[in-house]
Amino acid sequence: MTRRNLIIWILLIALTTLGFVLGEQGSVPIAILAVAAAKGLLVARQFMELRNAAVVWTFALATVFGGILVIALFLA
Amino acid sequence: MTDSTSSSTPTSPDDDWARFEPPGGILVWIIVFLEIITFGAGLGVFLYQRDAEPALFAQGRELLNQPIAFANTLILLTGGWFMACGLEELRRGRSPLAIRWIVGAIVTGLAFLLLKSIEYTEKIQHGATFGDDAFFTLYFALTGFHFIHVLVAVMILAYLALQLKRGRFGQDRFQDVEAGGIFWHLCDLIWLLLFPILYLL
Repeated sequence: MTRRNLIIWILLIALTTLGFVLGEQGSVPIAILAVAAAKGLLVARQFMELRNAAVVWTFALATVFGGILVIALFLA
Repeated sequence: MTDSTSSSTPTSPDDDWARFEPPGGILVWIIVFLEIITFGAGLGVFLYQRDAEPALFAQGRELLNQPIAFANTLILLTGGWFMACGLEELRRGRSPLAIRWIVGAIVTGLAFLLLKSIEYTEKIQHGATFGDDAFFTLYFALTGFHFIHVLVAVMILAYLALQLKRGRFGQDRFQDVEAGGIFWHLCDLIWLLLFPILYLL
């Protein structure tokens, strides 16, 4: 177990809790979706190890994942 | 006079590809992109339909179990962490530890499937099933398709753990384990889209 993975997991748990609380309080969609975007980026960069690959992969995944969240923001 | 070629090390096409290739190999990443786009399209339809029938979708959302979905998010992310730890241990040549982490990830996957099944049972007991209305048709289609992904990912991890136990993946050959891990994390990514859009917005 690496310290980095442990920190990322703690961050993900904290962000998930924040997103849930925001949702339960009926917060604005942009806040809930921004939390989801941050979690997606952490999973992709750290757990899926895109940090070790060419940056174009992170860019491509962020475009697709973030694009869906932006479309959701406009439709929500 | 200095040698102009001595300052830079020539690289082979293989080196260039190794630096460009994502973890797990390019094929599993094609699956990652296609799956995310597919779920994105489904969520687009869900939100578009919600705009057309706001009362029906508000009523449907009231029947969803947010605490179970929250717990399931924590479970999946914990499974993702376990898998990342398993790969780290594998790279250090500690296969027995890697297997334990991967088995931990399998347990989280099974816990997710169990909680999701409880949630489905609740809905069915309330009389909400696939095909009832637009909300529950899309809800069951999107979460059911994700359920199948988690089930397949659990089977892949079980296969990988078994092969590791038999010593089939040496320290120089674990791209298959990386690819299995990428598919496992894909289940996280998809759920990170489904959870806020279906349950929280």
